[in-house]
Amino acid sequence: MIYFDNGATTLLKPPEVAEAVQYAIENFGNAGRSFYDAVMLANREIYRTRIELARLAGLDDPLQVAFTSSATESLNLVISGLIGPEDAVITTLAEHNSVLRPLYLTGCDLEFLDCDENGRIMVESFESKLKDNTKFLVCTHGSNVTGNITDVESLYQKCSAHGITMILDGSQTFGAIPVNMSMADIICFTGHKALYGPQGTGGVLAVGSYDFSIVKTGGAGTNSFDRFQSTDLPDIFETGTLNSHGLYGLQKGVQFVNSLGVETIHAKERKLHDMFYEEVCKMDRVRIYGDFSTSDRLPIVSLNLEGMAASELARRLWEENRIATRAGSHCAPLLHQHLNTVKGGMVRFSFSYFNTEEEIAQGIEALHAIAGG
Amino acid sequence: MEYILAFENTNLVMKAERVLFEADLHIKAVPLPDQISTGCGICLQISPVEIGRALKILANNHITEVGIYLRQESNGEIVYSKVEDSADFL
Repeated sequence: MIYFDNGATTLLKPPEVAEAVQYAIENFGNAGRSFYDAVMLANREIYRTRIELARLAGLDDPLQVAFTSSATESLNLVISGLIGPEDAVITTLAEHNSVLRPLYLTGCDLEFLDCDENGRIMVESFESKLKDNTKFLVCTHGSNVTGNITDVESLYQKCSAHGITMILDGSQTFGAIPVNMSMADIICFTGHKALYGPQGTGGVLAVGSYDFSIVKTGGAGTNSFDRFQSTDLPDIFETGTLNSHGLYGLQKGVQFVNSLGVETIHAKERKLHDMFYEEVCKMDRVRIYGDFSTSDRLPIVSLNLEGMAASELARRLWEENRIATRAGSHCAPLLHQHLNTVKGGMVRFSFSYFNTEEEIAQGIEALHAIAGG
Repeated sequence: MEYILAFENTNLVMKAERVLFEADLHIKAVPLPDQISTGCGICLQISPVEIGRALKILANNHITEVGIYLRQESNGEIVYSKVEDSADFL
């Protein structure tokens, strides 16, 4: 198999990740629930995972990292914990449903930053979306559809100038490109994509204190006779038994990223991306989506072949060449509406550090064969 | 005679343990005694020789909300008494 669906999950991971998960399953007690060796082993490794993530994000305090099961859970907890129907919120047309649906659920007054014809978020329209009660901006750092990277530094400056809390969806970016707290107040991330961790891991990075309402509650291992659990970070998001097995695996994934360096990983992925794009864009029947005028991109190339449904192209890539891609709407409905791809969607090729130039060449050859046949 | 360091939650215990381990202090994670707080939880035990240095290290790492208790045996029972003023150790 040639795996080009890393935007969905990185299937190939450093071997230490799976080894760590197995070790944790065989050796970890329930973190935070007692004091004996197996529990303290879990406690310590979870804390080391926080340290690795804090290092990657440039955070001073590892306790500014809270764990959840996914970026989707992180976004749900943060959005429903902070935003209410009385708030005006700015978001964008490029968002995933993990942002859009939690926002819809709050009943807040939503404004959308538009995108240009290449799906680039038009940061310059920010001021025109402001209202007196605008309190939050929620936006993606990098599009899972187009691979476009949002100018979050500009947006964060604008938010700070207007006293607006900026919540960033770093699902596609944390581990893939530099991500730090100069880009937003709160960053939601997943563990199983560019951090090479197991599925079922994710979290929230936050500096400062926020008035989160309690969305989920239960056992926390301490203060058992209190009616309500702590609202401090990270405790407020870590109710119940943590996925310590997965988090130990995530620690090894993040160590891999930290040891290589995000820049090194990104440079290799960009080389593969460029190699693929430069050949594919010459093909007659191919329509590519996204802003390729900049080198500041995620390793994603989404396209359609004229006269062929995206689902059929993905099927032929798989059945004839064992190339795994993702066809459809990628859970980003507004961007597909904007790009006129609601009917049929598009086929996404997303690359990782573990792909090779040989695989890219085979992908190009396969597309050539299908487009010409 | 030992001292017990109690924290607001387990995450802070782990942060404290980490910075104290890194400073080569001899600490032990033990169950949070009922006499200090009901329910479950863990805390750190440390010797009188090292508690002063430990408190300075915790303060340097912005861990200031620390409950300090003296653990000693009295008439065959373990008794915990709260230390109200940590300045004695600093």
